[in-house]
Amino acid sequence: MKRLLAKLLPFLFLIVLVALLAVTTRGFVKGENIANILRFSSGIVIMGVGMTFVIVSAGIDLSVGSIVAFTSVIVAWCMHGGIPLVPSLLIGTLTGSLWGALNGALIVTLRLPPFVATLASMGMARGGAILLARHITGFGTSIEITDESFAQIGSGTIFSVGSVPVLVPVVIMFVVVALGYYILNHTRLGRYTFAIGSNVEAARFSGIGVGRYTLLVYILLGTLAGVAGMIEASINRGGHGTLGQGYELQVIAAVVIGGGSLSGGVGTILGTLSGALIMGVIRNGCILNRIDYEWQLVVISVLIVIAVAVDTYRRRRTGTA
Amino acid sequence: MSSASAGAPPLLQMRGIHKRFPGVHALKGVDLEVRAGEVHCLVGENGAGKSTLMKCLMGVYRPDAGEIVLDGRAVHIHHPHQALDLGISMVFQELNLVPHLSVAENVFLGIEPLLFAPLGIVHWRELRRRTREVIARFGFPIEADATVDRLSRAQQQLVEIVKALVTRSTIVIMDEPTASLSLEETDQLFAIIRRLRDEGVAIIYISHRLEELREVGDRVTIMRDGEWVYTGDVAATGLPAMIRHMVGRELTDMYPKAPAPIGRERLRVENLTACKGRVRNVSFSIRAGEIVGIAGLVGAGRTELAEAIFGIAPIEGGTLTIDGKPRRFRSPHDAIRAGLGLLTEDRKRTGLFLNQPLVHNITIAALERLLRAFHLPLAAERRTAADYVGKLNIRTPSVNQIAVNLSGGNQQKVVVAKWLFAQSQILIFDEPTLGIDVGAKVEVYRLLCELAAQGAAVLMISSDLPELLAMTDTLLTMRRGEITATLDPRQTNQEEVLRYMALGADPALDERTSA
Repeated sequence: MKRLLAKLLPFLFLIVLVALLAVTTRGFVKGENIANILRFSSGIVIMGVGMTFVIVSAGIDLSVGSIVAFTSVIVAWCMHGGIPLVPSLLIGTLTGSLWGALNGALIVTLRLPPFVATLASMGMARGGAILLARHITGFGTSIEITDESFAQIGSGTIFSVGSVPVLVPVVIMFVVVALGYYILNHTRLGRYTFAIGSNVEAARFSGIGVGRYTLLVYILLGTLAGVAGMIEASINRGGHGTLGQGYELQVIAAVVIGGGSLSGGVGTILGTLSGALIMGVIRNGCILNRIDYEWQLVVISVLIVIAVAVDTYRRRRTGTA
Repeated sequence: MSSASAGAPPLLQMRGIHKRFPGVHALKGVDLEVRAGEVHCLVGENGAGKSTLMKCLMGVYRPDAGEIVLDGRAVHIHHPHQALDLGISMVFQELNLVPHLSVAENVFLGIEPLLFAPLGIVHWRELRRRTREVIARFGFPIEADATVDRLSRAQQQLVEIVKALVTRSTIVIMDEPTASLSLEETDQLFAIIRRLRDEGVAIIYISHRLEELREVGDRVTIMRDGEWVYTGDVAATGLPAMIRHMVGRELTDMYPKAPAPIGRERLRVENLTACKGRVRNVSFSIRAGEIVGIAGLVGAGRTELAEAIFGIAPIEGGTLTIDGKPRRFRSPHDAIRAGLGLLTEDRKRTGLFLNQPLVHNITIAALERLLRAFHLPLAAERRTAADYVGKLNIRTPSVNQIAVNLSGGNQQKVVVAKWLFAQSQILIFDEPTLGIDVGAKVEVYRLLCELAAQGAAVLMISSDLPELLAMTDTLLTMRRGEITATLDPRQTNQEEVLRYMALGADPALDERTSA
């Protein structure tokens, strides 16, 4: 019972925060505003689902922001080259998978610490995205996409719930959350991810192909970063080498605020969803109340400290520190 | 209590100590009385409250009620630092050393003598001098300037003891100090303990190896379920009485060996060489229903042999035959699929997922037994785990309990359940009763016999000779990577086994030692 409460803590905090803003801030509960919060959080949530797997496996991935930029440039390039929408999106997304595979391969075969491996691919993907964009356009770091159907990915409305328009990226987000929840809790991959993060030696002695599943986890996150890249490219109407800067830290923050432990073996999809939305709601609340952007940074950082302190306290009490 | 007659006033008295944790009444008015110059053993099953009591003494926990009287003076200990100042120190089971620092630096870690206090400048010469002094006084086989990670486990244990000595502790608590020591090292440690005792130091000695107590202990206090049960002279008490007090009932049969029908050969190892020669030319075989034991000193290559068979350590030569087919496993995954299971020596490091629920720990090695296509049915999984909890008598409030919260014996049973669920037919048990209490030991023995009776082939590696002699059908001795003897446990004795473990099979050596 207590453990369940601890798991739901980030979600309860989100509810309280929303209630607070609903009462104090005009314009917060407007349908369009809610839709916007969800839309601008969708990329972070989608990557957060993958990052939850990586962090539960006791890993980390710093490259996701750069992968967003790289895949946005790739999809823009494809569209420019006259490749139809759907294959372009597929190629863009799979490029993300390839980056994930590179991360996983560096970690598994060269035994690099995840921090170092993904720090390297963070630089490579960022540099690559800008170089590629410059190479294609001959100048600048952006490739514009004018295709109207492509714009729908980030902004199209599918239907409305009351006055809240349900946008395509939000639907994608909830599909990813549902799939992520299922895989993490109801499949072998999910269970092995917990095992590897909890005790990698015991995982090996229990017959788990640690390398294979570690690789899979990074490919999963890379793929989801590709998905986020498609959405970001659509919202920003093109591929940009500078897109997604600092996303990696926001995504990691979402997982950590959601109760994920950087020491591995602990983390939930609902927590990560809550963590990302908490940040989105705080950002939105600050904008509506005309509070300086810098305050958001301070508030979110304090939240991270609290979340990690709670996690550390819990582990010390149960003796798994 | 026999202590009343011995005149000297006690050095330490803990009276009526109570400690409650959320949901648990861990100590229920415990008394402990320790005299200067005695080795006072503290025993009890896992969960009896020994560690909690010692943590109250070290200032890690604050007791809810009760008093601690030191040298006739009531004291309140709020912090381990304060305990050190009062002359109480503890040698931990898991060593607390910084591997890259020298012996002297470790000894004075946190209590460095200062040359210029305001700036915290360390008086290095003084630090080394005082470390050397203690090492020389006791003739410890270590150097003050050696780096700790180059020392053996036994030597590292000595560094911990030096730590206690430089602070001039009058009470030294030792928690399972022999758990990772070889027989020879254990003897050395006992000599040092006696020496400390003769200098007037009081030693509180915690151990699960009851035979040791007779060798090193003066008095014994027994705890059960958070309560004081008994205090008396070790010599006058005797092992059976100790066990009776610990488990609260008479254990009629410590080793419930039941003969099992012997079937066909399951595992054959021929001329196996592995692990850079730490296993050399090993041959043996195990049939269904048979328990084969391996005795050997620490470092004899027993664990390496198990890991080579299980696909972890590289095999450099020889063959492995499973059920008549030659096999070589590239990973534990292959080994498990061929029907092997390895209960490792260090369950916390390689056996358990400590921060995961018990149910996950039980099913992890054979998830495919539960999977419906790719779907893992959680309700069925919990039912399966609950089955094993019942069958193996694992004491836990629920299958969702996090593994770290279980006692050592129950954790071990969880690991056993993992291999039962994986339907392993060739089981390697490496030190299956290490660090678990008497009651749980008997349950593990009973389980071994049941498994054998169901047709499993069991390889049992152990440092506990009485258990090997009582439980196995064939006993092998290992020394420096080689099998030195194949013995019939019914026709041999501890002395003979020890001789083969320590000296090998060379008959010339045999004569020299027996002469």
